[in-house]
Amino acid sequence: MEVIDNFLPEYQFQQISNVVLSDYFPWFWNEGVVSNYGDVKNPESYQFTNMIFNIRYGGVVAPKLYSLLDVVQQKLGVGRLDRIKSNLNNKTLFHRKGGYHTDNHPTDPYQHTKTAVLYINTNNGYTKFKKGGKVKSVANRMVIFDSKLEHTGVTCTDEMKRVVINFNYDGSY
Amino acid sequence: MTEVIDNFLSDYDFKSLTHILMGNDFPWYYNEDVVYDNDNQYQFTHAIHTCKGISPQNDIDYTSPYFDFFKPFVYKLGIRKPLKIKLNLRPRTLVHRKAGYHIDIGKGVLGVGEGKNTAIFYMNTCNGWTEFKKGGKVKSVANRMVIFDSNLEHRGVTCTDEKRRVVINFNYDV
Repeated sequence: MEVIDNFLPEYQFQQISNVVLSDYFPWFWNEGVVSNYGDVKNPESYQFTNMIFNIRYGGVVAPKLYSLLDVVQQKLGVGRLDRIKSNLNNKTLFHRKGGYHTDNHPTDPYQHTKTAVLYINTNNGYTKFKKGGKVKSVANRMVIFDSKLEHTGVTCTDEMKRVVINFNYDGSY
Repeated sequence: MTEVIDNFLSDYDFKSLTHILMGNDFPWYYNEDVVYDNDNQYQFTHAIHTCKGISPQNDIDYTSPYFDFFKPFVYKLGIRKPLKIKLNLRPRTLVHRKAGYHIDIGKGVLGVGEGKNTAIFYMNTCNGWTEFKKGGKVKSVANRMVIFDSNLEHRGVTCTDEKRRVVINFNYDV
């Protein structure tokens, strides 16, 4: 696992965060946080997402943001891109785990190998790994890890929202 | 006078609308505050129609691509001219949270207070409600409409039993 602070130059990060955190950025309701894991019935489990790229949906879903994230892909060394998705989790009174998972769908014949999380805002939420360790949400921080590692997002209690962008990909060869 | 109408839409219209608005393809926009700046609350909204001049920010008429789905309301409410139609989504909270009392459009703006109405339509049943400063409250019951004078101060209260409380606000000329 690798954690990189100040992953992007400040102006590039601002371009991205200004879009994602703006009043004009659309968010889509999800009835669960890790829907493949059957948490939909949990009344405390929901989140807002925006799918930016998904190979299963034919590629680019949100062209404007996708183009802004080109620089991230370059820095990550993305070879084959599987999915880019942003998540918004609201502030909760107590920290709440989304549920341990990997981003690979269990029935998908192709399993990507790398997962990266770019933190859009600073808050006291974090990413926690089942095998141990956690990465705090710090704006412009990137964590890169093996996609087989089970992890969970944890909500924040100090800011109104926790926003991240997830990248699932294979590295370039 | 405040009027509450249950089963406001036909079953068919309500189910169609639910399919669209409560589904995961409908876009919501994050608002850092609910009624007043820095009120330490948040909500998600979607403006269906805003009329030029309802606030300093609204310098043109805006109509969402989803407006056509709201035509049953236009007919049933007898809307002559929509001033503002907006959806609000507030996620569940651990305890009920009350927004500040307000009217939706400033007094006197576009003739508010002169025969204008505000209506709130409840998209889902939950234990949240709308309450009025002068007294009285209306529970969130799916397919319920409450209609009242635009001058009546009111506020929404979050739910604690469902994942979200979704309402549609109408401000209009009758």
